[in-house]
Amino acid sequence: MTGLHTQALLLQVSDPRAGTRKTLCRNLTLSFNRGENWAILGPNGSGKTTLLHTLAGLRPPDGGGVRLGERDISAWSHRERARQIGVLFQQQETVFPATVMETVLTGRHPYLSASPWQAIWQWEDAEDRRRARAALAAVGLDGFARRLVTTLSGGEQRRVELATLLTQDPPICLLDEATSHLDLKHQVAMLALLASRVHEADRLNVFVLHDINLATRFCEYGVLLFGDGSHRHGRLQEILDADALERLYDCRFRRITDDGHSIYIPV
Amino acid sequence: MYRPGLTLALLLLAPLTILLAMFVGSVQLGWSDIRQALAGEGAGIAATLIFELRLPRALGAFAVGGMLALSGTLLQVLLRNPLADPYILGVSGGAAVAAMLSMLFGLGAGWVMGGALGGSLLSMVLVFGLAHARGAWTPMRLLLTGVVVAAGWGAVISFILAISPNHDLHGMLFWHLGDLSHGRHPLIGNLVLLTGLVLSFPLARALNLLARGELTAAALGENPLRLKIAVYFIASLLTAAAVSIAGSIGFVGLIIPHLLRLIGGSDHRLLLPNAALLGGSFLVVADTLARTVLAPVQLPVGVITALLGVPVFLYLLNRGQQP
Repeated sequence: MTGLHTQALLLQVSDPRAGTRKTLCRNLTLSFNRGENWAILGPNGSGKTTLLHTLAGLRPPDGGGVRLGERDISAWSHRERARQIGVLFQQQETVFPATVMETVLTGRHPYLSASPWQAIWQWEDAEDRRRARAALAAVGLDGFARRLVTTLSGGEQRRVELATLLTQDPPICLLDEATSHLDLKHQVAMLALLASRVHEADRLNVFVLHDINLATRFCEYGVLLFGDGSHRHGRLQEILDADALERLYDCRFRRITDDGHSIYIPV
Repeated sequence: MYRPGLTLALLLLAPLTILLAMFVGSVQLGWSDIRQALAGEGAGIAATLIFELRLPRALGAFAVGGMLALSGTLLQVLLRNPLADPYILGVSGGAAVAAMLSMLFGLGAGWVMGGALGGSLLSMVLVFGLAHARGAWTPMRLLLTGVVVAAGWGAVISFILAISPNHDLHGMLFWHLGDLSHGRHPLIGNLVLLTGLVLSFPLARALNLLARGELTAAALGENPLRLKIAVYFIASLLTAAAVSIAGSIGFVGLIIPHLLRLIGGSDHRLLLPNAALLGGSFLVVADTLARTVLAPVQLPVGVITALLGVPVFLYLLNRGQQP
């Protein structure tokens, strides 16, 4: 079972005003294993997206390393990697008027032939289209296949992206603010759908989230990025206490316990 | 979705427009003239008109239109901007300056074409080099650099026109506005068009990903840097060839891909061949109009493409805003 493992990971971004490099995350060593839902929590600019992109192999680490299974992430070809890891980006460019079906079918790209001369003739087949339709139904967009993505609302476009990820169907999903633009019903429905896939089919989800209550509801594990290079990781129940929350978001929280479940409200 | 119907229709349209170009002109030819000429029986004026003037010119127009539309499609994905076009990047400006300088110094036609090729390649390298100077190219930075370099070439063109002797001006203006009457080698143009299509077609599915962003392409299994370099190289080759054959013809590279995206979807596996076919047919019709509307006076074909292109484009733009 291929999981994601970081070894003494160092993440830095350049700070053009100060002319220096800001350290977002220092010496992070942990294993994201299959069968787990993880949440990355932290304030704006603390490096959540940078960490996610580094885990996805889309950006080289500034120190240390990321392993996918037995091999360093950079040793995987783009195509092999795309069969293992799928990414939902924070923002998606939609410049050209593609239909919903065309967009969702791009999720099958890593499984179609890579040879340029076969690529000409190999189109998505009935099975690929069946997967795409099933994914659209799962996110509540059946009947949208022929619509242009550019004519959809923000929340509907977000669900098209989620359907593309479901069509790609990789064992590891890295999701950057999966709930953005979604209404409350769909926030819960989409996270429940994604989290259940982990338990049923032994997959791995890593969510970047801003909602602590959704994180504690759907994720057992978490990484807290404090923004100064320090971090904390482990079982969310154990690492997420009042002190950590206050340090994380620089504001006070009120904790309400309902039916054995803690709910945090900023005050 | 698999929609080959439009491609088939465009495959039929292409020979029809070339046939039209053979009929129409300052000397009207009938069916029998064309049939005889094509069968190799015809003699005299009809055969000369068709084989030495109209057919090569129509085939040349087809190649140039196809190259411009294909290169426009590729550049629009590369810059992720539906308003990108080979000319906005200053390519035609560089070509025009080199060609006009060759004319100014009284060099032969071969120099003019070679100069145009060199000028357009130089301009592409300049734009991409300047845009890349600090860190990675972002599409917006590339586009802005192209627009500014194009403006620079525009100033040089005006300068050359201002200091040129009167007898050179007419040829220079035609070059500047686009002109197909000197296209004597339709075969070369069509070969370059075919090469561009063969090279870009295997990238079509990857282009569908690139159209949704570089990170998306990388996450779905493509190496974006390799893809961008390939697209840039093919688009440069096509634009340079088109400009060196026919001068600066605007709007084809902008409108054809845009129109096809609206009526035929955004899947590049169909968009690329569709663009080559419709771009070619469009320029054959535009060139036929250019040599007939005010016959025997010939207009630069760039005037016709702009006159047809501007209203079509504005209409599409307004229509596109309604959901």
